[in-house]
Amino acid sequence: MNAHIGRDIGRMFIVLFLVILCGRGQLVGQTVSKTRIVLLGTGAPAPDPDHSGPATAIVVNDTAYLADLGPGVVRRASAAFKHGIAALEPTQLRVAFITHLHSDHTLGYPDLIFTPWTIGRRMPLEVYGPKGLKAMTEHLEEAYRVDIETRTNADGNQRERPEGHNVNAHEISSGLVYKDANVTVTAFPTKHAMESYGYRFVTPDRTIVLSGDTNPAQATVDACNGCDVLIHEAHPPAWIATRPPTFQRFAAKYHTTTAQLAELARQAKPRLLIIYHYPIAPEEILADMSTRYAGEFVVGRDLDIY
Amino acid sequence: MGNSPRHFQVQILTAMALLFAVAPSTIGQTTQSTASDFKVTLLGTSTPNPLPDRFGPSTLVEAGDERLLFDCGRGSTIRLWQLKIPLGTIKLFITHLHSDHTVGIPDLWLTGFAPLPYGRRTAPFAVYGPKGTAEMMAYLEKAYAADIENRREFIPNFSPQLVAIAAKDIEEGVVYEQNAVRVTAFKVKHANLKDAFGFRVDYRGHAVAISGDMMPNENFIKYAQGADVVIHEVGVARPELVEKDAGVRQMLATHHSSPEDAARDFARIKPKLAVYTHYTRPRRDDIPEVSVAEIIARTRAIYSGPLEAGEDLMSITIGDSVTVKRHGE
Repeated sequence: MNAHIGRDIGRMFIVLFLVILCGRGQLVGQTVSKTRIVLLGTGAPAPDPDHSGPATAIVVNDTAYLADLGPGVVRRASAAFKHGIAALEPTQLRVAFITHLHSDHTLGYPDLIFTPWTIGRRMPLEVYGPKGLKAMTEHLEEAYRVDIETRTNADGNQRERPEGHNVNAHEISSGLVYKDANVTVTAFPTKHAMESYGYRFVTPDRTIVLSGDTNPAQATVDACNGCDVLIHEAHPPAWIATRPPTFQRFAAKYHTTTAQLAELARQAKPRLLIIYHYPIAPEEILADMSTRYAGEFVVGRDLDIY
Repeated sequence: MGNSPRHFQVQILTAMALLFAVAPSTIGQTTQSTASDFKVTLLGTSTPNPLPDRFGPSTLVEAGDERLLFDCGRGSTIRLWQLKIPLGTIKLFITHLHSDHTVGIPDLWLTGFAPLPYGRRTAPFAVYGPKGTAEMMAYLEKAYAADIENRREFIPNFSPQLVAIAAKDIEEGVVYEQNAVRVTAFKVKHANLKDAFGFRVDYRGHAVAISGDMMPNENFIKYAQGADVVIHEVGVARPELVEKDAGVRQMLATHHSSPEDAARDFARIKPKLAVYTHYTRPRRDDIPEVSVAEIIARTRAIYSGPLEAGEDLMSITIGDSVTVKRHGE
């Protein structure tokens, strides 16, 4: 009986803590000097109006650092801007990190290159990602050649800002990949079906680790190691069991189950775990994970701010 | 799958009941007063401007079993799946190669090949568009080659057909004819593009004309004549912005049709319904955009026929009469 009460009180504290945390997230959203995480896409490849494909923004001061470019990245950034995050105004987007070149993580890339330019971006994008990123970028620029030429020639409406569609694509390997006054970004190798990385963002006030798509990886644990926030993918075992055997084998090698994530988080010890890139309803994954993990965690939803 | 006589009887009764209740259309949805399987749905009514409630330009025409998409702006896959239309069943027609009309193509193509309910492509992705379309699609294949190669490795019995593209550069004239559906492309004037088209879709004695992006031009009037429904772009800014900003002035004059231009088009074509889409509404911090209500009011000063301010997921069923349904109605 006492144990029950103790557990209930414990749960109340967790809820209270999450409410405070949530409130803090909102408050942080109103100041300009703290790091905010804005979830721009928490979904899987399915074209779901509530869960766009994987995309995350780490916002430090007036700059947004994007991680992955799911198809809704520009639309969700624009929505976040309208909710008051100035750095996510589409014309201000200029730095992005890509975990791997699967299409669900890159289908928003053409939109990111061309839309902000069309509506006013003057600077080239700086995009970091695995080998193959340069070729992908060059081919996208070629694919949209008619748009570029007609907008930049003598009577084109972007002729005064012809640089804005350009991209400096940086092919990375593990280690330090980016550093400016706001953030230091390191990449670590993850375990997916192709060359893939997770990213660690160190800002003046927070350390944030993002998994990308991966099997549980010691590198993720090491990158976090008591970090403020770990943003990690998860697929519930019960859902995986409903999928075709080929996907089950694929998931066993290249994705993380909620059970595995709970174990990984116990080792990585993030102050907050955000689950993203999940294939089922958030309530279901919340219920699943609640039975497995006692640490602080949330199931991310599009446009959440932490 | 053999039906028992009793089951069959029930089916007949059900069918009769349906006939008396509401006339069913072949796509499983009912309309209020028509029995038509010719339907236009606005999937995206914005421009490059990434609005949360207005997605990038994209218009779906369903005619019998044909599902034809006109332009593929940002978010069109989400809109299609909101209608429970598998992405893989779509044939794409592109009015012109400005990026707001094409940035959704990689998503439609590559999310559409997934062997899942929302994908289901079984034949090469058919794409018809202006000169440069086939080349664009070839470069997109190269851009996403790493993804495709990787999936080839992990999807058993991966058929090249799943990701194959059948792209064709078109000229003015009939560009597609199948299952009683005829698609005609006609040249329009838009910005400095050599090739910009509008489309007319004819089906069983009815037709819809889609302007694409255009400034006023006679060819549109010629091809839209007799169409039941006209889907028309519009571009407008407040007079003080037009006066102050030469770029806006030039853009509106050479790219788009004002509400008055569109109204004159409608008055000459006399469709059963005119519908606005692709609202180009430049603004500045100190000068707000023109509201949709103002666009309608300015149109009304010249044109008094049936008119709708299009919005995302508005559907227009074309039969002996034309019926409009907003999303959620």
